[in-house]
Amino acid sequence: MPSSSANQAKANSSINMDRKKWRNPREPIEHSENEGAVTHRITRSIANEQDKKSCLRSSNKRKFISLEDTSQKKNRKSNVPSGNRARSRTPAPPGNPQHTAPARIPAISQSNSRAANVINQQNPASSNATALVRFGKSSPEDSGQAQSTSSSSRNSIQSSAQSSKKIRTGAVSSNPITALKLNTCERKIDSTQPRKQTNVNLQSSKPVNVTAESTSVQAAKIEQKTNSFSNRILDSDTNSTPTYNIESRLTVPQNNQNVLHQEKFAQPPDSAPFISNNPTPYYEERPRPPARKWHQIPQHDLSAVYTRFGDPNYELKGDDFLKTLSPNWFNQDMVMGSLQQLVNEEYEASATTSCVTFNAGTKLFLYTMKYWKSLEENELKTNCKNAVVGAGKSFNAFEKDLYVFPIMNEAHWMIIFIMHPKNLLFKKGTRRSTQNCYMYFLDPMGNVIEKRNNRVHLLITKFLEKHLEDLQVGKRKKFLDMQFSPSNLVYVKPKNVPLQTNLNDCAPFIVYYMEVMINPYHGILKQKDPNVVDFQAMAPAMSVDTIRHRIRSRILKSTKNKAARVALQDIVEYELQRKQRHPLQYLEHLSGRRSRSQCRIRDSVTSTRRRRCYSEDNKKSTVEGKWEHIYRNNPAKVAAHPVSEDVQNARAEPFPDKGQRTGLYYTMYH
Amino acid sequence: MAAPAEAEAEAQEFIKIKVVSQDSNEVIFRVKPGTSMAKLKNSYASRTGAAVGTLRFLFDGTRLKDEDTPKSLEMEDDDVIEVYQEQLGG
Repeated sequence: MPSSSANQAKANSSINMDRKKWRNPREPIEHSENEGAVTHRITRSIANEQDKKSCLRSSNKRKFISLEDTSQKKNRKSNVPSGNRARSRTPAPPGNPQHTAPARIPAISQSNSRAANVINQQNPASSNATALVRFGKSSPEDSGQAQSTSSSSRNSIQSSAQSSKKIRTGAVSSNPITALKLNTCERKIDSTQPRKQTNVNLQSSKPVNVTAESTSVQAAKIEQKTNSFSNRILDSDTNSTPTYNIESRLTVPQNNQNVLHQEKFAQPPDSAPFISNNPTPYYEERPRPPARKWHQIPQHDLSAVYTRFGDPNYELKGDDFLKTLSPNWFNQDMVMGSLQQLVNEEYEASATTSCVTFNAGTKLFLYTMKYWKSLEENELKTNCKNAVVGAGKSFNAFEKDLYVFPIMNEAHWMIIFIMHPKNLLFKKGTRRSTQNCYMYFLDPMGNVIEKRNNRVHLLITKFLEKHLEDLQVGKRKKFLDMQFSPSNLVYVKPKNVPLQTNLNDCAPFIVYYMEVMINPYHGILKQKDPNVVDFQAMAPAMSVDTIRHRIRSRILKSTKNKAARVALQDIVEYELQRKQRHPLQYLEHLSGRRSRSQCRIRDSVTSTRRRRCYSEDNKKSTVEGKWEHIYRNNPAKVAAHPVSEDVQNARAEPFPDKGQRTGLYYTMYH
Repeated sequence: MAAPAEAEAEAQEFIKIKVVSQDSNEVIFRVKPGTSMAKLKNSYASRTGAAVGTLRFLFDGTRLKDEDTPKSLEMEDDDVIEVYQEQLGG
């Protein structure tokens, strides 16, 4: 059997797995099988003879296809390109153009089946229940519709001109005998030829079913094989008339499937679910709880809810978790936790990368960015000293391949990557290493000031030098025979770095930079040329919302305590539902305000259209008057309203606490 | 004769710890190795007038917990604890 069909069978088996599983019991077995599974078909061909007979009978009814049809076909054949010529006639029931079920056809067969489809649409009268295609030295045959009953590729290619002639002859001569004489060793194309012989052949010789999808070359192989196969059968079968022409039947599965579809539509099976062309989804969406309104969400004490993130030492409270929402700034716990978590997530990254605590960088760059003009050598030294202390006792900058320095300076987060710092060291009395240590300074605001970049370069160099000194002179006594070469530190400016567009998103962006740079597969360590770092090539750009969302989900994922996780989700959901509004604004919202301009007119003192509240009735139309009116008539209604409690609280204390409503507090700055 | 020896023993018992704030103000504490860090935190906070919850004490880049002691952290003389307030950046 052809290898292509076997492959298709494999491919189909994965697609139609569900279909197999939920096979309709009423469905005949052949139809539910894959199209490509030729071997099964051969074994079952005897069992299906009845079907074939009925099919042929139905096709015989249409054998008196008129001459007009043939002439049309002739024209069509000239139109159809030889490559795309259909190898099978897919019978289409008239008026059902979508008879080819695309879900079942393998991709290879698309062109062929499409061509057949076109033909069938053009000439619905030519449709048969089965497609008959002859191979080999074919003989008197059924009413081959010229274009669609393309026989073996050899024949069709060799004698396309001849076949067109034969169409003509077939059209003229309705006598089957003449047609027989004419077509001895080639395919017969005669629409009016009787089918009796073919019927006999089919019944006697066990036909071989071949997929319509086989390509032309494969078709030739199939032809040979099928010839030998059916020849053997013919030899064994004494009843059959000894014919030299062998018929192999090309079953077109879409056809049968189509019929089945209608059956299915008519009577869907009771036990199994109805399976249409649409495959069942590969995953089921997790059932989500219904959306709650803000007053339905349980409130938590923000300082009481806490989780550990990244490192067991970094503790995040509910208050910090709220900062993952859009306009808020990050604090050091958030930044350090998320950077450390990124390192921990990837096993390979944790082997090569180390995250330095923020206080080293912060101490190092204290007063250096702003007052760098007046920076003196002594100050620089003290800064370096403080930074070395801040980095910690256990910090060793020459162990790993990549070091990450988050910097907090003047309420702005920046990040520095130092790659291969080992190359800065060389043994005393030897040459410096030929390889360089690379430094990447990433400022989410954009590092366009060259003087500042040079300053960063200088500071990092001094810091590493001081750090080596500390390692040698201090208690650790490491790298005693090593010397520092500042010229090996190369500052590189990365390209196409996504920058923040507002004044709030610097910290999420440095987390994003970190995520991109330390990636063990396409990160900075895997780049061919460390002098050229292109962010566009390294990672796709991410929106700030996505970055913030990823940080939030990372925190939730790392929270092992379920109660804390639920509480954190509640806190964020509550804040999102409130949309960080002052509770008093809900009154305005409830009043049904139309537009800002109308409000301005209504509220402005000088406006003539201002509603004057001289009487009680007019007073009702204002916001406060309306609520007063309601309260006077039905105080229980007001008390029952979820807003009212907040309104009372808000009136007592017009601006909520720092800790309680972070969103409000921080938005005041921006 | 015994008095200086006792004084030496006392001196060995206590550890000097510097607490350095962000603006490089130093406060020096004499702590026994067994005292909890909560005590140190509270005394520093009361001296500077800030709430304890708003301050973050870092030693070797890791945040101090209340139940930590100088012994558990392996502190020595003249070790530095850094104090940070919440640092927000955007």
